[in-house]
This record gives sequence, structure tokens and C-alpha cells, in this order.
Amino acid sequence: MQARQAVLEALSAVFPEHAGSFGDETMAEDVSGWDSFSHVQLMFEIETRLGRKIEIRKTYDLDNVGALIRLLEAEA
Amino acid sequence: MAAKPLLVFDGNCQAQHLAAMIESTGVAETAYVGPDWGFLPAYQGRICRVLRREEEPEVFAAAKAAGRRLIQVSQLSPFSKQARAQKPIESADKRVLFPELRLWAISPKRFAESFKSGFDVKRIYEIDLQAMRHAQEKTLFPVDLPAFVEREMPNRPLFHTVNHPVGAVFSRLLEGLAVLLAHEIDGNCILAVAADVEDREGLNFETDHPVSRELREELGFNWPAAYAVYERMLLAAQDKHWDELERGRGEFESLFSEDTQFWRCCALLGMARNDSAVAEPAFERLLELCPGVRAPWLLYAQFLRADRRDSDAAALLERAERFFDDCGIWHGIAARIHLMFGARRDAEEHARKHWAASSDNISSAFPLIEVLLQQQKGEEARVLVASLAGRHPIEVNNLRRFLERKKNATGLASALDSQAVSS
Repeated sequence: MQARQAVLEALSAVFPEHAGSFGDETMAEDVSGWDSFSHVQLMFEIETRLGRKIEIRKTYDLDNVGALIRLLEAEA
Repeated sequence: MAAKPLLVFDGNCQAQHLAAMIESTGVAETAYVGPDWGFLPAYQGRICRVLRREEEPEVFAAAKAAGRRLIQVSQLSPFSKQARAQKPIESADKRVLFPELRLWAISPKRFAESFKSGFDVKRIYEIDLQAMRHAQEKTLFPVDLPAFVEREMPNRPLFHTVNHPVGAVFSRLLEGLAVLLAHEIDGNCILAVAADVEDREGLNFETDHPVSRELREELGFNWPAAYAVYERMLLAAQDKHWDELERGRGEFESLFSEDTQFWRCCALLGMARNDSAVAEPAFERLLELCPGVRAPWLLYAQFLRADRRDSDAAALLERAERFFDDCGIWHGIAARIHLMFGARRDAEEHARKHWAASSDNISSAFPLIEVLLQQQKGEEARVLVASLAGRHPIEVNNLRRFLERKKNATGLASALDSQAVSS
């Protein structure tokens, strides 16, 4: 699965109340419940879809969803 | 002699515990700002001072006017770039940082309750360490906490719950703070507390133990033999095997007499047997070890009620009031104890004050919801529940579980659902 699809699917799975509203500019603070707890779940969901481990330390300080997708594409 | 500095802590209960410990040294005054977590950890029977948002500017200004240094001591989570991080205090002379520590791996059950996905516990442990490492790097904390956890965790349990570490971890945190605050206060005083808490239990009023043998093996944890005894004690209480708890009490006490969970087991045993000689010393010890937690107060009141000792229960309530000194937690305890004794009007008054003082913690609404239901004020309860639908999903799940346990709350959970759909 491509990084973009994996991230968007995972976001919808973890934050179903925001499903369909995620874009590259979406930031964690725009999403109620996206904190250090749910971030771990989100990374699990993405890892499951991509079938590989993510360097999670690199994901904590990203600016937005687009930056996360670019990071994962670069890691692939 | 320079005036004592004011150290203002922010973060979670780890920050509150550190504030209480440093306050005990007498070399600094401490306070906590931030969310109400529903309890306050104690050190030597004392809890930290919690500043209400509206009193913060006045307290800070008074400290500065008195020529005192104002130091902000902030806990950073790995995710603290995001909105939940505490803002810098403008008037602070200095800000020092320490990392938040979490270890999901010891409680995959809790992890599964919070998160829906399947998981691999080894991967959780890797992520725990990565998250700690990231927070460590962001704070530039002088003691390498993730290295300590990674080195020691295979040899002994370092966490009681996901975010409640043992004394040895707090000891490392204090050592680091002693370095960071060296120009502000006498670091030796902090190091003396660090030495004192090294072998103590840390935050232990809740527990995710026992960790199963399978899980320990999977994670490569080879904990001391006493852990098997601890496991036996906790399981006996959990499964209400009171005879087994009674038989093992001497052995448990010889190993765990400084452990809150041992005294909690004794309190439960005493309650089950209606035995004051067992229950009351246990309650008293619990109120020394964790007086800022509502459970020992409520269990004690429950025991006294079952024993028809209403005047002793009233005295307990007064004691709690003196201890908490108008802190929001006190109103929550008072509301619940009044409900226990059927004093609904008093319960309602305290429940409203509790919710007003602590509305950033969803569980603070529970006594109010309960008393509203008992007072036939169902519509107000429904409006309150519906207003909470947009809270953090973990909080909403807690509320849902609370409502599902209440027989007279039929329909309120659906108010939560309909509100969630409409929002």
C-alpha cells in the first residue's frame, strides 16, 4: 500500500469522527483526541497497512499530515 | 539570605509528585499548574499545592514582588509540540524541562482498552523506549532516563501503571532536577530526597500488576522471586480469595509492608470479613501513603457505613476536608460520601462545586450525573452528558462505561451517541 493511502486510512480508523476530512494541511491540533496516546495507535495502524516499521521518533514533531506522508515515502 | 524560589511544575501526576517531594526539602516552595487528574500524589503524607487558573497571575506576581525567583519546571511529552503542552509562564526567570515517561508495554490490556488495533507487545515496548528517548532529547535532561529504563526493566518492575513509575525512577528524575536547579537551590537537599525514594514505591495507588508470566517472558523480563509472591497477593484480592489472602498476610507484610497495594489488599480483606482490627489499620496506612487519592477515603467511609458508624464517617469527612483544604478533589469525595449516606442535597452541592472546579477531567462529572439522576433531574443529566460528547475519545469511553454501570442511567449513553453523530 502507498504511504498516502495508508496514512489516510489509518487516520480515519483512529479518528472516525473526522473521517473524510483529512488533508495534507491537517495538523494534530485540528483533530480532537490526537495526542501522544492516540499517536501510538495511529502509528500502529499505519505500520499494519504498510507492513513495515516506522521510525516513530521522527514522527512526533512533524507539522502536518502531508509531512508525515512525505516522511514515510522517503523511508520506503 | 535569599528568599526561597517558587518552583511551578506542570505536566501530569509525575510533575505533581516531584513538586510534593521538592516542597518537603524546605529549600523551595512549589506549586502545580495544569489539568486536574482526579488525584494528587503525596510524599510523606503531603500533596503539592495546586493553583487554580484564576489565581496563577496573583501568586506569580506576589512571588516576584517579594524578590523571589520564579522557576517553571515543565514536563515534556514526546508530543509536546502540539497544543496540549503547557505555555511558558511569562514572568518566569527560568524554565527547566524534564521528560514524560510512559510504558504501555506493561499493560497491553489497558492498551487494548484504549486503542482498537491489534498489537505486538514487543513493538509497544520498542515504541515506549523510542518515545522516552525522543522526550529525553527534547528536554536535554542530564540523567539518561530511557537508558535507565532499558537497562533496569528486565531486572525489576519500574512502573506500576503505564505512567506511574516506582521510586527508583523518581530518584533519577530528582537527580536530574538537582543538576538543572543547581544555581537556584541546594541540590544536596534534592539528592537526599532522591536517596530516600530510591527503594520506595513511587506512584502505586493504582496498579496494572501482576504482569503475566507469558508477557514477562516475551519481553525478556526476569524479575525477582518476590514478584511471584506479589502476583499471588494481587490475584487473591482480585479474585476475592480472602482465605488465601489471610493465610499469606504475614508473608506479604514481610515483603511489602511499604507497598500501597499490600495495605489495599488488607483493607479489602477487613471489609470482606467486617473485621475492624484488619481494616482500620490498613485504611490509616493508606491515608498516610496516598491521602490525595479518593479511593481510601471512600472505602473507609463504606466500611464505616456498613458498620453503622455514622458519626465516625462524619469525622472522616471532616478529616478529608481539613486535608484537602477546598481543593476540587475534596468536593468529589464529599459528594460521593454524602451520596453513600443518602444525603442527596449535600451531595448535589458538593458535586456541583466539584464539576465547576475540575471540569477539565470528565470523571469529575460522574458524581453530579449520579446525584441528578437520584434527584429525578434526568433532563439536566442528559444535557450534561450530551455536552461531554466532544471530549477526548478515551474520556468519552470512561463516561460510557460509567453510564453503563448505572441502572438508572438508561438512555443517557444514547444521548452521548446522538450528540456525537450530530456533531
